[in-house]
Amino acid sequence: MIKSYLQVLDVSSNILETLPQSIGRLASLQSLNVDHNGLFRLPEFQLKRLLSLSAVGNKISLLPNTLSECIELQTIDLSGNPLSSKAVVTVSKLPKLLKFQHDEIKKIEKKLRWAN
Amino acid sequence: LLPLPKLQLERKIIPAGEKHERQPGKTIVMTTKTTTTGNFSTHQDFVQLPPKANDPSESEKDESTTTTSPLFPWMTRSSLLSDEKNTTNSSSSSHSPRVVYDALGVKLEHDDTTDRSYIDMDPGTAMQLLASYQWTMHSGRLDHAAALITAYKELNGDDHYTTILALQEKTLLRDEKRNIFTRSFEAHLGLVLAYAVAEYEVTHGEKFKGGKLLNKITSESFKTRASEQGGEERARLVSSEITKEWKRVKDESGLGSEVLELLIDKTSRARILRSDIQYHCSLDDVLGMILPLTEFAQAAAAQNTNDKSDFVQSWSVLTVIPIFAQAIFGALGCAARHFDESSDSSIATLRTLVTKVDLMLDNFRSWSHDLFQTDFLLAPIYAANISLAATIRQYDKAQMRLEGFLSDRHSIVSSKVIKQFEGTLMPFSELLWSQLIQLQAALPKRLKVSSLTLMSDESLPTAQQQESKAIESSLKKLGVFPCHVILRNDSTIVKVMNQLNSENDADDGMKEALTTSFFDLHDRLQEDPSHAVEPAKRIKLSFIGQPLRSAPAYQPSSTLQYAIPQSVLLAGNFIESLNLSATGLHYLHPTFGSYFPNLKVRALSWNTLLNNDQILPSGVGCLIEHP
Repeated sequence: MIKSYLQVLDVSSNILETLPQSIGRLASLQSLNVDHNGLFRLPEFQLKRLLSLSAVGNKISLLPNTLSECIELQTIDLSGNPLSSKAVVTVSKLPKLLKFQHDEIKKIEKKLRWAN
Repeated sequence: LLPLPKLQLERKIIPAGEKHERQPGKTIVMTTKTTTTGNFSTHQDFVQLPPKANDPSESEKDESTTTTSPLFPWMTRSSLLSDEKNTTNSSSSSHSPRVVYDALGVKLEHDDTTDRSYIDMDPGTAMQLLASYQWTMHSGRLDHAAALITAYKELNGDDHYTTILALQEKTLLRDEKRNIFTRSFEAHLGLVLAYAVAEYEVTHGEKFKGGKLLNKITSESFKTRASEQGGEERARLVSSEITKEWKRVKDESGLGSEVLELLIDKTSRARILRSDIQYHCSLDDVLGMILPLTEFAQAAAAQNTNDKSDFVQSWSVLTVIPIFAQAIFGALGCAARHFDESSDSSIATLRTLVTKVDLMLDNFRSWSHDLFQTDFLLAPIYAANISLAATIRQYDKAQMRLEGFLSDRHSIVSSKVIKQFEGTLMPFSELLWSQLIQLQAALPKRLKVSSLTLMSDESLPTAQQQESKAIESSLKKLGVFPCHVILRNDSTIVKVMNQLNSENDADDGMKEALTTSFFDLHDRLQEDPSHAVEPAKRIKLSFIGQPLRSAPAYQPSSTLQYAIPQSVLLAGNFIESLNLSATGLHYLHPTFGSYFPNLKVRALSWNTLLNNDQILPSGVGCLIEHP
């Protein structure tokens, strides 16, 4: 694991299509903002201190399975992404999630109820 | 006295609006507007021109207060003033500066328009005051010296004084062995005079207009101070004593008004010389002009200067060097303006010029060193010449010269004689140290630095590490802060630092970060980078909305293709928060993240970053990689 002290990373409003795998090794990361890029997916990461993830306005349909291991995540904003139902299932496994923003929020709420 | 060389200069007054024509041959035609040159006559030898009349139109202008010292860009005015205040309190609280002005014959000029009084303070007057101060110090009249220096403060209460003060008190007094107050009088006097001339000439060039110094301050401040201090009887006594002292100085040393006026006059004229050479000469003209200067310097170096009793002769050094300094500055400026790196002849001309100027300076130094410590006077010129050498890629030569100057003991060859210099003041020059560091930072040795190479081959990194440690040790020992280091793309920092300066004292943290960043590079490779930086020293840096432009690479193979200011990269260890939003970034090197091991917040939004490898480091161990 890279010894990194980075807590906040904001790369919003660029033209990134992918994120590096090494992002998953930022052990201290608490806030990740990748809004308004051209991302199709997020890399596999186990950011156990991550509190907030924002990826608004990308092209993400699936979320990495390891996202469920980010056990401190409280806020996720994936508005403006063509999320699949499988992705929503992944999110639903997060134990401390307080806020989840998505376009089809009603569907998500239904899925969450089903999952619980 | 050595005869001054006949400069082949011809002054021609041309009415405003009329174009001038270049005369054939080596003759230089200097054109100057009549409104700014006073009563210069036509076709007169430069050094024989009559004194310049004061321009009353300039006396109306006030000196604006700046927030930073031009010589110490990182040093805030307030920090300098705090020391100044302390010095004022400890030196003389009872001597009226006005008394000193009267004693020295400094006259106030009253401007009816603004109903304010001004003191015409030019470098010559400054030197006069300082010379008096040095002399009274030398003669043990500390109270008089204190009064004089107080007067100087009052007269010149702007950055000029604070800069000199900083040089004297912040730099030179840190090393007991090199304390200027323990040096010989000649060294002391020469040093301070050198400050007065060289520092002002170099750093306040923009304040000169047509040779007239616009350094006028109101007399209101010292009037208030004088009335507060009171004690008219004591003031009269001091006045009387100083008058007698000043008279003795003039009578015994020949340091009379004639010499001083000559010095003042030549200094102000020499300033015009620099401007004229720089803007109206060709490179060929410059080489032609340098020739008689070189011959003069050579003759001076051959002169026996062991007889220090001839004080007047010593003064000739100070009357001549300012003129030559301006001529050389002008020549170097001209060369820089006309330099065409695609032209072989242009490069060859500059090589010749650099060599000749080096030789000339060495000769001057050899000549004057025994009489005065003129190192600080010559250091800026050496530095300019070294810059020119670097421009034509004589990096080795520049490096060798710098290392020579900055070592405690070195030798130069002048007039076919090898002269040893020991215990010189050159190592106190922040300008030269800055150049050395900048040269090393801009042209790092080809060194593959990574955790792997460090393990497999430690010989080269160790050598460089030792070199860096040696520099660091020297700087700490001397108390020198290399504040003139300007690395690639650093122009962007200026705006950012100005913002920081106005908001809080974060620039102090940045200053310290930049000071040490160059040296802890190797520590960062080998040790846990976080331990070296205390949380209190960590800084937040924001470049939001500041377009980052990448300057051309120093060398084609350099991988440091960053638009990020290089100083920021080197100071990365201290940076806790870095905001590069909306700066136009479209590329970051894969090792970019490695420069900021203690970073907690990184914002790169609103740019055009494309490649996914550009956000994060590929590995902390890979700090800099030179192919």
